[in-house]
Amino acid sequence: MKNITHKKNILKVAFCIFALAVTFLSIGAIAAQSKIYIYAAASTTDTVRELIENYKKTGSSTAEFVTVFGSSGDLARQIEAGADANIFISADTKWVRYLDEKKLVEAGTSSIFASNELVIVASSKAKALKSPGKLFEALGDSNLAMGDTRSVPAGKYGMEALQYHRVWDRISGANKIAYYPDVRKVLNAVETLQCDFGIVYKTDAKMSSKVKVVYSFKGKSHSPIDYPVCVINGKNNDDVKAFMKFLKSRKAKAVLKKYGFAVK
Amino acid sequence: MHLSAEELNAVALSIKVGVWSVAVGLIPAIGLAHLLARRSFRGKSILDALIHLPLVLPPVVTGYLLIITLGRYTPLGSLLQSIGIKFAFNWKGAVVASLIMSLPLMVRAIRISIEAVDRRLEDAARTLGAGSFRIFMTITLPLSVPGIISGSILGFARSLGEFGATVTFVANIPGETQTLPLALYSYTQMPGGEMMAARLCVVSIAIAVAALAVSEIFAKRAATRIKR
Repeated sequence: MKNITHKKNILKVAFCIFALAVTFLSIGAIAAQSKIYIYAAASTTDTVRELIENYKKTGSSTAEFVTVFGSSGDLARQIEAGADANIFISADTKWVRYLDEKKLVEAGTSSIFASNELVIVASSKAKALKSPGKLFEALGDSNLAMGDTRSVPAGKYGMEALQYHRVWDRISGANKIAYYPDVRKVLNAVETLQCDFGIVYKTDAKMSSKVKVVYSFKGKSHSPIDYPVCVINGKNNDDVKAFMKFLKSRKAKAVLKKYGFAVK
Repeated sequence: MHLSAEELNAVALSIKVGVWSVAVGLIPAIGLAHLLARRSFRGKSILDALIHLPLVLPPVVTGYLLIITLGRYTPLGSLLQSIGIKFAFNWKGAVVASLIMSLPLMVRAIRISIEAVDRRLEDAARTLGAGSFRIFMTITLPLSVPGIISGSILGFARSLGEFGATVTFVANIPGETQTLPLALYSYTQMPGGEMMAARLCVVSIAIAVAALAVSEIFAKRAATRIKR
């Protein structure tokens, strides 16, 4: 009996040593590697992945990249709550401003690295749309899909553009708009024929073969769609600086253009 | 605490959708629970799995499946539209999404309750000449009331929290399909929306706690009645 308890104790001690060893080893492993955490807006997912791939190919850095994609608002709040982000790419300038007000943006690192365009996409069942001014008639008994006007940037721009073309009041007044919490869901609603028309970014429309772009809004019809990038306060280092420099290179701009972004 | 018209709308709509999804789903849930608890038949495990699917699938996928089966240009969707039932982008669609999501919880709770009913009571009634329906209505159903109550409350609670399937199926339209969690999410996506999100959070908790308390009272009453 005594022997058994003795053995049990040895096992307990051994387990504790093992657990501690694992903990220390993993902490060591995390600390040893240079990792760059990029928190980026969901609409830049494929673009940012390819940018990182291309950057790695240049061979100028051995740093490892960790990407976190989500809505700009979610990411900004996670960063505010202490998430380990080095670089933040937002789909909307207001979230960088939000972090800046909380003293979380490293001074002088924030800049616009890409711009986007707003388009109307149509499903295969949609009626022909001659001009955005005729959107109400073209909708018939179907709905217009767009991002929520207060919480989704694309929704806000869409509202501005429709107001510019003087059809907003009619369409929203007739409850013809289905609001979605992000642009990808808007695209999906048109793809699955739930809505005949949708307002999305050019970059999103480009990804889908099931919808066709029937109108591109002129830049003057809505506020500029800029994607700012910034370094989080206290998270700057040489690896981060090198990648930020790469983002402004010709190579990076070529990738952005490929996905439909406009670059200056 | 003063709620804006939009917030009140979201609260009222959530309660409406929750109540409707329980009201519509309760009888089918009792039927399915009885079937699974008392009958053995071919394809029983398939039916069981099918009912439970929304519990394990990501809600967005359930919403997508709803679009595929009940959407505008699908056979079933067109058929329903021709008799005047339209789910697209209205509160009825939100009820459908909530109902599908809460059905497994309702069926589970009721099934466990039915399985706990002493079979000898049912057998005794049968020897006394009662038919299956009479046995169910006078013995099985009354004895499983606690499960029915807790199932209803679980279903209601699940509806209150429903987000993914609803937003995918019927979008996020204020006053029409914007339930509490959808409104709450919208607020968290706005800089400066924290206060409104927090207020709705408090309201959600209050409704959930109230629903649980009510179910507790009913369940206790039912339990003491059964003991007598």
